[in-house]
Amino acid sequence: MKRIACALCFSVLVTAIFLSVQGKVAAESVADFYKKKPVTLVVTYGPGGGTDTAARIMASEWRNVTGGRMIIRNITGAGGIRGMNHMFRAKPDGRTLGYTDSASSLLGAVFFETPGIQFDARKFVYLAINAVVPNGIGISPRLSANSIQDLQKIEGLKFGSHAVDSQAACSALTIEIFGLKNARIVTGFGGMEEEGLALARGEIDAYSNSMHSMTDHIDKKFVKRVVLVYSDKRSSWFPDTPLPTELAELTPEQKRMFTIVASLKSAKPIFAPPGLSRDKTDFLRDAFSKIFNAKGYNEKMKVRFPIMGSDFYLSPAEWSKTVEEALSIPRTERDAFINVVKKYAM
Amino acid sequence: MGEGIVAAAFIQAFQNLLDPGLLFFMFLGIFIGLAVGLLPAIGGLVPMAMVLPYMFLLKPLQGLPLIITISAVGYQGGSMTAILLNIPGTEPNAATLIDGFPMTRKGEAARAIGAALVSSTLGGFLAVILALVMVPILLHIVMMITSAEMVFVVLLGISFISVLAERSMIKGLISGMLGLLISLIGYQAVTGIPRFTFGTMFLYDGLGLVPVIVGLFAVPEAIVLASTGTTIAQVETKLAGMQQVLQGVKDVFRHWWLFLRSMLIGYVVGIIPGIGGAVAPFVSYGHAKTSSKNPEKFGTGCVEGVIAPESANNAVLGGSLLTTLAIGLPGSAGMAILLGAFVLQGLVPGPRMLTDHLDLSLTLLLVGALTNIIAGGICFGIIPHISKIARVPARILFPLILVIALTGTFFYRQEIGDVVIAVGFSLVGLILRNFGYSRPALLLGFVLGTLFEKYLFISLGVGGPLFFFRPISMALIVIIISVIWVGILQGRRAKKA
Repeated sequence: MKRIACALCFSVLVTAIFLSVQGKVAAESVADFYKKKPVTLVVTYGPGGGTDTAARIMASEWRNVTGGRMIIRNITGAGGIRGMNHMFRAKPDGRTLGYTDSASSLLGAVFFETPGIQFDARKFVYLAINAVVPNGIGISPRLSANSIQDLQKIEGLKFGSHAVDSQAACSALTIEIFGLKNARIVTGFGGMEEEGLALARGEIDAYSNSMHSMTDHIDKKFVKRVVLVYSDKRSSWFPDTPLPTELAELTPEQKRMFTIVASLKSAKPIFAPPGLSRDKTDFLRDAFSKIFNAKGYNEKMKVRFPIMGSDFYLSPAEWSKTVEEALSIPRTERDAFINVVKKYAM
Repeated sequence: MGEGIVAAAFIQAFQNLLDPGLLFFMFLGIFIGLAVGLLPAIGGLVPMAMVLPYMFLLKPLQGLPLIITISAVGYQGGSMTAILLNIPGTEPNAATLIDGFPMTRKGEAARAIGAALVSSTLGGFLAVILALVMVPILLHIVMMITSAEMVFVVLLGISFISVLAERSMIKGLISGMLGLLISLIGYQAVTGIPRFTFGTMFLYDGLGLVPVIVGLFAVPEAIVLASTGTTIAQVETKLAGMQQVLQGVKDVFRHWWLFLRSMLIGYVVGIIPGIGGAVAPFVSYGHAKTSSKNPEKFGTGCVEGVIAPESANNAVLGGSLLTTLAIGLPGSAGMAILLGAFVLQGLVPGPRMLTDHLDLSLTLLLVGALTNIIAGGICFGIIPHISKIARVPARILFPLILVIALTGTFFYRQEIGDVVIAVGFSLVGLILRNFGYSRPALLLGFVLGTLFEKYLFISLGVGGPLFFFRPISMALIVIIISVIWVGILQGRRAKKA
């Protein structure tokens, strides 16, 4: 019996040593792989924008962390959908990674059924998420109002948006919850800068945007102040700005819409095509985690994304859960919400 | 801001210009910009995007001058291929080929390039100087021009369709309307409906400008050249290369008032974010034709038809550079890349650029001005040699044009679909050419159609059906009616003649 127990212990020990050595060899080989082979980071927007800039900052840190090279490739078109489709079809060899903005090309696009989508957001392998911030409502410097209560007294407010998208959804829900009289959403603006300028000119009275953009627009004096943050907790960057749930008693229907809007926040996931091997996934997650903690990365990112490192951090697992939850909202609820947005958008 | 601070910033900016590192990267930018500008259809965006990754390795006074220089000199190289081969090097050079290429056919290539370079160089230089003067009132101008005014600025451009018609005004209008129709291809964000995309993602963002231009102009001319078996220049001129160049230079000073007006048009269009550099040269061209005593000469190789668009296209940069720096609003794709370069350098363009980094802002504006002069000087040296291309036999030039034009089209977005579009538009261009329909009018309709629709939707949403009851809008409506009226009168006069 004793002999059997000894043999068992010995074999367990040998197996454990063997497995740990194997694991180390595997880890080393993945590290070698990334040291030798360049990685292409597909950015779904054009050069010079926020997502592209963040990608280039990550690429500059990639060498310090892995010893390898990261190349940026901009695959643009159809509001980022072409790049997303490309990523879905890409070989999951760990050398092609994607980077996008969820509110417009990932969850936002899927939720609002942007035509041409050929990807399943649930099947991507999410490696890291940065620049996560909720959306909010900003108001024009030409308005005398300073709060959502002041807005309730004004009739015929105009909100600006690019299209019937996640930003418009935020505006629509604000109109709906706070009963803003005869308010409507003007669509067609070319992007957040155009919306900001329209706000400064007084063409529109309010808009919904990510807290990043609004911080920049407050600096440029396009936005007077942020009157509402769409999140389940207050932002430390705007501690005095209330949440909709603090100001109004939401109906069950509005609560469901609030959940949807909160999930369509601004977040920039780094992801791989479906089917990436476990060892490469682990290595890449670890590498991006190191990049996010690097001093150089944080200093550079803060120039473009001043409210980085705030309290809205999401791990890949949490992000995958967000994607899963957002996309499992029943179709009837989704359609009902889209109809509410369309009711106010023109 | 105190005068002393501004003066000190100016002194610092001039000192910065003497920095060897800055000068090295400025000359490197000039070299890259000119080389790529000479490669037809590729344009300035590709090299700007290519140098973006190096921003981390360079200091702000090295990286930013490099990228500004590339953006500034691309148009100068681009005018040469528009004039010589009917292929614009960059999108804003498209209007130059309307009269530039006929001048080449008349054996006046060097004169056209000389006029184009002086207009472009001085236009760019003066626009940057103007930008320095305009800083205090820039914000007021940008705030005054709302979406309602944009509708009429674009409509003013569209009204020049009637002016661009070469022979028949009706044919010109039909061409323009065809251009407007083509501009509707793509995903419409307001309605959420993809139009004429046939289910392909490639057409969601509409047709690219480069494949349309290459198809409409370059390939049909190459085919005609091959079928005649001659050279592009069909007339022998008495003047030697350098003499022609000097004549082109004199032409600009002879038409200094036209140059100045066109430069101002380009500058104002550059200041306003959202219109883009491709519009200003067409508006300037249309303005030159309507205000000319001899409008019938336009389109047949008239030097004013080269001076006007070239004065405007480089002036756009001065205006848009200022808006990008002072307000943080990129008015074009090129300026968006520049904005990204600033961020990668740890700087945020916007109102603080002119307070916290005034010396750097002034340095960059001065780099823009100086670059124009240096690049212009370099180009002058090569005009007599490069203009000899017009004498190259068709059997050599035809395959060369075809390869260069279609390769350039591919590199524009690295899409094979663009090459297919260019080939399709070659057929359209050939038909239009043979039946006397105006290709520039089609191009203008195509360029402006999307902008018109966009601003019309926004204006209707913001102001309702009576959105145009605003002083600036009303003034623009009066100008548009005048332009159309002048077009009709010119058409009648031409018919009588």
